[in-house]
Amino acid sequence: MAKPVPLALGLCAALVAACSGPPERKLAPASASAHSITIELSAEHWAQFPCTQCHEKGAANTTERPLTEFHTNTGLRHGSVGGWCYRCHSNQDPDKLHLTDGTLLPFEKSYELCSGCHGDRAIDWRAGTHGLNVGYWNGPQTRRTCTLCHNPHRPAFAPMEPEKAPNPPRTMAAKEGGRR
Amino acid sequence: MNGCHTEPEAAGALPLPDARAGQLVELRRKGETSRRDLLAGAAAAAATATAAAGCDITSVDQFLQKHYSELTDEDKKQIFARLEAQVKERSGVTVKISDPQPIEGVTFGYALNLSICNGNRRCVEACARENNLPNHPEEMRYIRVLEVPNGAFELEKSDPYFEGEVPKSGKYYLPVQCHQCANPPCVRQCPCEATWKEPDGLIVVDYDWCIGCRYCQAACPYHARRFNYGAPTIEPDRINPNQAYLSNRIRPVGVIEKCTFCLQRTRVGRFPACLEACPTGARKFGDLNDPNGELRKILATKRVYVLKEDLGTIPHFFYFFA
Repeated sequence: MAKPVPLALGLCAALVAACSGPPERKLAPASASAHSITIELSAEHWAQFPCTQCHEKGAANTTERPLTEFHTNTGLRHGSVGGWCYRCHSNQDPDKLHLTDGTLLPFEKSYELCSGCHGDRAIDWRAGTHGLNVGYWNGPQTRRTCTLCHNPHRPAFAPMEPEKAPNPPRTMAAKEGGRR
Repeated sequence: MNGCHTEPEAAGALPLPDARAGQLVELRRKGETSRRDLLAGAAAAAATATAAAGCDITSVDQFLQKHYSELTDEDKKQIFARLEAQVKERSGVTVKISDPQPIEGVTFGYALNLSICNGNRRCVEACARENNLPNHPEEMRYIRVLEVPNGAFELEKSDPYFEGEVPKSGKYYLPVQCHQCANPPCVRQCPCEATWKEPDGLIVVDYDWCIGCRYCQAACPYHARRFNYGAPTIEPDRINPNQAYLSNRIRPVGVIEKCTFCLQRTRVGRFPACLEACPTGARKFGDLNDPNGELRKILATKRVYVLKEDLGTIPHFFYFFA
């Protein structure tokens, strides 16, 4: 990636606050052929965590409104059905996310929340057919959590600058009156 | 036979130095010479003749080197040491040349998700670095990312030289590299068996056996083979020291090369470099024989498309939509 996808608001940073290195969590093997699978979490925006530094539990104004003072660069653009911060973030416990049924969820399990709406992608991700897995095809793999590639607030990939184009063959350049 | 290419006038008639030639003819008349003696003489002569043409031949051993399939472990050890020393001498970089063998029961396959590839060419650059591809104006890249108008399947409507921010609206992106065909037209064309299919499905080239005729390049319907028109020019800091004899070792001038699914990585279990570099996660690699593997899941559950399927090449490279 030319520019890492900016990850806002310390999503996935929950673990990091508690332990030193980038956190690692194991999932049950996704398939019989898979060896150990490590889920790689975002290591960015630790500074903003824990949210309870500023947000008191259950004290937020949950009315949707333009933010003018804090979190102004979130650029929320996720889903066409509307919804605001508290569709995913919990007001009851600002250091957690919540599922649609109200179940609280730590940030490092954010993929469970994503799965709630994006079921088909979640199935593919668990099967290893969606997402970027690195490491060994026949051994330990590191699987990226959703929010490491997709900014949860603006999940669509931003347009990016491609690497340099190949040099056209000399014959082609010559045909076009170019160098030879 | 040896991957060395001279100017036509030099290659046409092998000029033996007079004294040595006379000696050999004499010996041969007496029936006291072997084929090896003769070849050794010819090699020495060729080395002299080709030195002027800027060719790579440095020793009789190199000239007499056997086909990869006939090399013993001892031969390999010597050849690898010679090649390593060559790189050290030319660029000052210490490299390690190995020869990872196919893993039994494994057939490598590749699947690429066209729905999410956005044409950013990170794979092209990662491949170039991993496989020691030269950077000169004749630069070659194993992966060509084609920008195709939506709705078109005709590759002649595509553009590999696109620039500017991607993805562009109304276009889709089709990266093409070696498809490691099960029925490879390139291998059939080789007049000297310098390229062949390995048991794990990878098509490889013995660069020291290739004569540079480029028949294979013409035969490949995927435009996957590249020819070394110039001597390799790689900045020392770009040289990848983890090299394999049949894949990413630094190639001499005048031979064909191609994508090998990074066999120096994949045969020891790692993912290919292009896969790990893809920021969109469009690339999937694995063992086609593993019924629970990612590839078999893709083949079973996604809409899969094979490029130029009508040619009967049976690629091990699949495109899918998900």
